[in-house]
Amino acid sequence: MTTDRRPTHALVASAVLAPVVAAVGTGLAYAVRDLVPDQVAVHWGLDGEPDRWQSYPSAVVTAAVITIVMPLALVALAAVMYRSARGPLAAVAGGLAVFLGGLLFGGLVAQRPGQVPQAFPPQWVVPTLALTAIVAVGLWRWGRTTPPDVTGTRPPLPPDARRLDVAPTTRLAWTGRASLPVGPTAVLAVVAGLPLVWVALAGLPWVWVLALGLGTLLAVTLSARVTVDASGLRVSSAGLSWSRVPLERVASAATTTVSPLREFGGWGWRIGVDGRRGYVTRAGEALVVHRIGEPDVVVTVDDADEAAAVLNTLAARAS
Amino acid sequence: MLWQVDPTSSTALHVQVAACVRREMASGRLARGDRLPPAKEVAAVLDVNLHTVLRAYQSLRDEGLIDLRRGRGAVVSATDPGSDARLRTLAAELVAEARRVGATTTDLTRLIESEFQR
Repeated sequence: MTTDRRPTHALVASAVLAPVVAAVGTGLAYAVRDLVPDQVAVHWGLDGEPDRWQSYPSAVVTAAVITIVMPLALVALAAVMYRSARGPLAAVAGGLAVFLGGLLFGGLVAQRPGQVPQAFPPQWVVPTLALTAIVAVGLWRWGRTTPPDVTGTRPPLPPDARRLDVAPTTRLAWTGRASLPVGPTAVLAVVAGLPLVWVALAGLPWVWVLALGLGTLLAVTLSARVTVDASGLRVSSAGLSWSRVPLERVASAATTTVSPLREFGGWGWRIGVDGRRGYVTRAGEALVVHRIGEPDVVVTVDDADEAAAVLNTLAARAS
Repeated sequence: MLWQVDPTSSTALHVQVAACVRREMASGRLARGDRLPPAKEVAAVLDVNLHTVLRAYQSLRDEGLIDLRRGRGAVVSATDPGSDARLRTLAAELVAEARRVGATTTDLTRLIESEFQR
């Protein structure tokens, strides 16, 4: 079996992209050097007024270094992770390179003598965000592995896979929930959101919208519905699907014990260090679905053995 | 929770759906205050009509096992869902068996009374 090398290719492309963006930015900065003042603003206070200045050449070097180093750090992280995590991280690294390059160099080259320097010059912000989205989506699509064709190649269920002893005419389904503990999560969110509130109070009222948006997003993704039925496994929050495993892609299901921090580096929808995808909300019992030719999917639910038995029974019927 | 219905069975589908909830209560996995999945979701995963599930939920409400509130969905309200549900299940099975062997309501009532007097 040949391995799909596209995630690696996408990651290499994102690693190449960062220096290219920095080089283009530096070239542009050099081309407009006569139009820009010798001392440029490089840092802005909460009120939008510049509070730190630097000579133009050293500001350009700083911008180039940041544009190269931060995406490459992500690429390095992706290189040591499991192969299937490379595609998504390539998208983040590539997007970050464009985002940083556009805003840092844009903020420098837009400065003109006699004008108040802006941290986010409007003529640069919109194109930068658009290009960031295009590059990120492009790399993500490039780095996606095509799951192997499963028609007619279904391996039989392992004999020790737990099944339910029911009549073949019985329709089986299982419903459950995976929820982060509401109290502690809310406390953490408030603590993490305090800087935003402070910034909003300091005079940037649009930050309220951002804080509210993030809060809503958190509330929606705090818990997920888990269903197993004749179409397979589905993990979703308020209509947003985290994972959908069609029954024909289910090799078998079982239970496992997970440690969110150690195996997934946190809580929520995650890519594990070993490439497993997981919606993990707590340590302990979890349903693990072995997919055909793809990494496992893990969901922390109570009575996971029952969910696994339902999935195995349905999968055995389908084969 | 586990849902199972057999469309080929002579028992009506909504009775089977309600039985799934009762079985969960009897096993102690559903406690007072727990929320049942929305009827729409159950109908989707079992591939049955929404009204079948709503009818099942309504019968559970009539038995005093759950509360149906607009916007809040179905919430387990019985103080002791385990015992209540177990008795209900046994009664349902007893009546089903009585129908099968041709026993009437009077026969069954007499039988239960005599069991109480022992």
